[in-house]
Amino acid sequence: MRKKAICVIIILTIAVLILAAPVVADYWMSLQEILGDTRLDNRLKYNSPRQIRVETPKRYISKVHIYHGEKSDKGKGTFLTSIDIYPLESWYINNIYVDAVRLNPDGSPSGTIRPSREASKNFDPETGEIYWNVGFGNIDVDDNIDIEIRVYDYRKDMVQKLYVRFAEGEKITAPKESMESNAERGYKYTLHDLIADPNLFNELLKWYTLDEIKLRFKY
Amino acid sequence: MKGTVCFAILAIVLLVLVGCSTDIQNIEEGQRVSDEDIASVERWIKDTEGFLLAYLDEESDYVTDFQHSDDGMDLEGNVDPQDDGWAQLKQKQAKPSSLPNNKNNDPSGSKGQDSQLGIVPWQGNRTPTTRQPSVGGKKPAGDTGRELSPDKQKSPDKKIDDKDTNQNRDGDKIDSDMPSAPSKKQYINNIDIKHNDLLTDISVWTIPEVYSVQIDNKEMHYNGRNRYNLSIAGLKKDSNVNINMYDKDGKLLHSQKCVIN
Repeated sequence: MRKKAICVIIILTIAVLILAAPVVADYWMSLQEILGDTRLDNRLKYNSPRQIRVETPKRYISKVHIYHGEKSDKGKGTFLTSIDIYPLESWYINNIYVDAVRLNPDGSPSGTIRPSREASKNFDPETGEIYWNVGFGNIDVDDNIDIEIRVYDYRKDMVQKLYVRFAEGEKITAPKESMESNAERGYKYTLHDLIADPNLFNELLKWYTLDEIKLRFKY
Repeated sequence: MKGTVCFAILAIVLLVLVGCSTDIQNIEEGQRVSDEDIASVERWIKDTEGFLLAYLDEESDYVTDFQHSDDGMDLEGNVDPQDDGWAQLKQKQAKPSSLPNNKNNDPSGSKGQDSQLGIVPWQGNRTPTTRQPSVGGKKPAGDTGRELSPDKQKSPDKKIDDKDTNQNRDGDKIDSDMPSAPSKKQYINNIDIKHNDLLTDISVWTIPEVYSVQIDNKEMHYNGRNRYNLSIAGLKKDSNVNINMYDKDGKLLHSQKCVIN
C-alpha cells in the first residue's frame, strides 16, 4: 500500500514539474544586469524582442518642493525649511518618512541629523490636492545634505525611496503621463518598442533607473 | 504569481513525500534491525578498545623517544623555549626525577623552581621563558623588517598609480571645456561610463557644491550620496557628450566634455 502511495506521489510530482516548467522558467532581468550580460544574443535566440515585455515599477511621488524661509544675507546660515511632497495617487500611500542625512565631502554618509520624521497629510481645499508636508529647523544649508524620502503603503512595505538634494525649489520626480508598465496596469512596452523608438526609450530612462526597468524572458 | 503558486504546490508535495519516507523508515526498519544493530555496536566497541590500547602504547613509546632526542635545540642551534617547555611537561608526567636536567636550559628558572610541583607552576614559568626571547630575539626583528619593507616599497607605487590614472582620466576621457576657469577645481570626483549596443550608462560622483547635473540638457537622476546617474539610448561610440553641473541656485558651475568609449 505504502509503496503504491509513494509511486503515485512521485508520478504526481513529476507531472507537476513538467507542467510548471514553462511558468517557472519565466524570469525578469533588469537592464542593469543586461548591460553586463555576454549571453544577451543567446537569450534573444529563444525570446524575440516583441515577446520580451518591459516592466517599470509604480511611482508614488510626483514632485517634491523645498521651501527655505527667513533667508539671511547671501543665502548663508540656518533657516527653517518646509518640504511639500506631492503624491501621484494619494490613496496608495499610508505614510511618508523623511530623513536628513549629512554627507562627507567624498559622499559617504557621516550621520543622520534629523532621523525618521513622519510627514503629515494635508488637504488643499481650493485645488482638492492631497499632499504631505514636513519641516526642519536649524539645518545649515551650506552643509552637504541629502533628504531621504521613504514611502510606505498600507502593508507597511517601503514602496519607494527617493533622494533629493537640500536645495530650494521644485523637483519633479515622475512623468505627467504615467509610464508605468506592470501586471497591475498592464504591460505597455516590449523590447522591440525600446529598440525601434529611441525617443521612447530615452523618455523611459529619464524617469527610471536601469535597476528599475526589467525585461521578462521566457526561457 | 503562477510561478509562486506552482512553487508552493510543489513544495507542499515534496514536504509530504519527505515526511512519508521518514515515517516508513522509522516504522519498518527501526523494529526489524534492532538486535543486529546492538550486536554491531558491541563489536565496534571491542574494536575501538583494542585500537585505543594500541594507540596509548604507541604514544608512550613516542614520549620516551622524544625525551632522548630533544635537547631544546633547533637545527640552527637556537634555543626554542616552547619546545623545551613541552619536553619539560612530558618529562614531568613521565618521570618526575628528570627535572634537574632541564634547569640548565631555563633562563628564568629561579622564580618557578620554588613552587615547581606538577603542571600549574610550570605554566607560570612558561610565560616568561616563551615571551622573553621571542620579543627581544633576532627572529621577530627580522619579521618586522620584512613586514615593513614591502609596505615602504608598495606605498609610493600606489601613489604613482593613482597619479597615472588621474592623468589618463584628464588626458583621455575628460577635456575641460572652460580653459578660462580661474581655479582648476575638480567638480567630478569620478565618472563611470558603460557602453552597450542597447544603451550607454553614465554615472558621475561630484563634489558637494554640485546640486544638479545635466548630460546634453537631460537631467540626471540623483541616487543619493552625491551620485548622479543617467542612461542614454542611441549614443554612438567615440561621440562626445556635454556634462553641465549646476549649483543650488541653478547657476552653471562647470561644463565638461566627455568622450564615450
